[in-house]
Amino acid sequence: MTKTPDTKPPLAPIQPRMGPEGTEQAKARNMRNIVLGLSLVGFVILIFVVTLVKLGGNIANRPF
Amino acid sequence: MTDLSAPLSASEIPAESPETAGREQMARWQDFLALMKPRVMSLVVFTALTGLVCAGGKINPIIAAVAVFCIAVGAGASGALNMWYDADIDAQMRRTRGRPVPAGRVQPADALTLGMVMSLFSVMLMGMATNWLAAGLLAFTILFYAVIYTVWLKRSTPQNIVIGGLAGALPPVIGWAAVSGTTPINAWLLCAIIFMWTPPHFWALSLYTSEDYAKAGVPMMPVAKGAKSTRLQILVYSLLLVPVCLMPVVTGLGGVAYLAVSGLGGAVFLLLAVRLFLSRAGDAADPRMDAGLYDVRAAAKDARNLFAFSILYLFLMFAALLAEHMFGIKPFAALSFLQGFNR
Repeated sequence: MTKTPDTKPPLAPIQPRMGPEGTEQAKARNMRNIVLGLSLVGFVILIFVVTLVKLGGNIANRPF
Repeated sequence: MTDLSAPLSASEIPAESPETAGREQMARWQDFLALMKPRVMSLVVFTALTGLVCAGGKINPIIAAVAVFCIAVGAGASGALNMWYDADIDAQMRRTRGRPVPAGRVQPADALTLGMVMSLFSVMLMGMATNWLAAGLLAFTILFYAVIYTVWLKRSTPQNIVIGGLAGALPPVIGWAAVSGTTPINAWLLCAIIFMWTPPHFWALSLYTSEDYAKAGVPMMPVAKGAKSTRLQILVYSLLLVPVCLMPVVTGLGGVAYLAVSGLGGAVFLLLAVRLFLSRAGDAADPRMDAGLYDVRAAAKDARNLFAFSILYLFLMFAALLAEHMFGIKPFAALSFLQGFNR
């Protein structure tokens, strides 16, 4: 009996997912996402603060 | 919120190099910031703050800060919409071809989206935080700059920056309305000062950058009517500007410091305008000279001087008003019988 030859192709060497250009683009995208995220958080805080200021002391005096 | 053609900023310097030419570049967050024309925004913030302080009403400091922030964001939104629509002519002009959209760093649709979202955000927040008169004026200003000036006037008439200048003149009125909910004569006087200041300021600059506008087919005054006519119109507008700048003293809005600044500054402004009128600034340049965009040719020195001084003049007048109202300096007593224009 002869052993069947292994037909699996040899593994290709692992390539880095991105070259120098891709890394640069990914970095730019990450920074954009961080700034966008911070802007959204800032927006929520701003609306919250404006609401508090506009309500002022009235919230304590509201009728129950 | 006019594009007062400030000189090139770092973000506007053409980024194209042999390595980057021909391929799309990745937008950085700074590119989106550049879409909002931060330096135009700073002028808008300063004039709006002056209007807000001069109104003299009672306002929560946080709400005041939010109002100024909304005006700044509205100005940024106008800038983004302007850069989206004008990408074709921006690409042809040295001064603007490095902007994010013509340079290919930001997609036009992204610039449009940013402008629309920020317009809605600024107007809605202004209405919620202050009042709907201020919000309505802010919406009108954005619409006027993005549609009336950018889409219509800029490409169709040499009077583009005269009429379009209203958008840049309105921020102090918005600031005033945010505090008081009204727009009295004094608020409109601040608007009138910026409105009358814009033509001599802008045309002085365009006298030495007209080749750029001619190349892009934008009918700026020196391109459409020639340098001589532009110099005359600068002089006429300067003669009208100085009395308008003195009016706040009459109405009680400005005090002694303001009188000194607007009077002395106005005299210098007129002197520079007369010198520019008598010069050959903007006349056909010597073709042998390959001057840079902002390199000043001998004959254009007078135009450069007026342009530079006009910025200082406006800044000093508004700074004087701001200081007088913040530190409670009393209006000019001799004309106190004429006061009462704050209501």
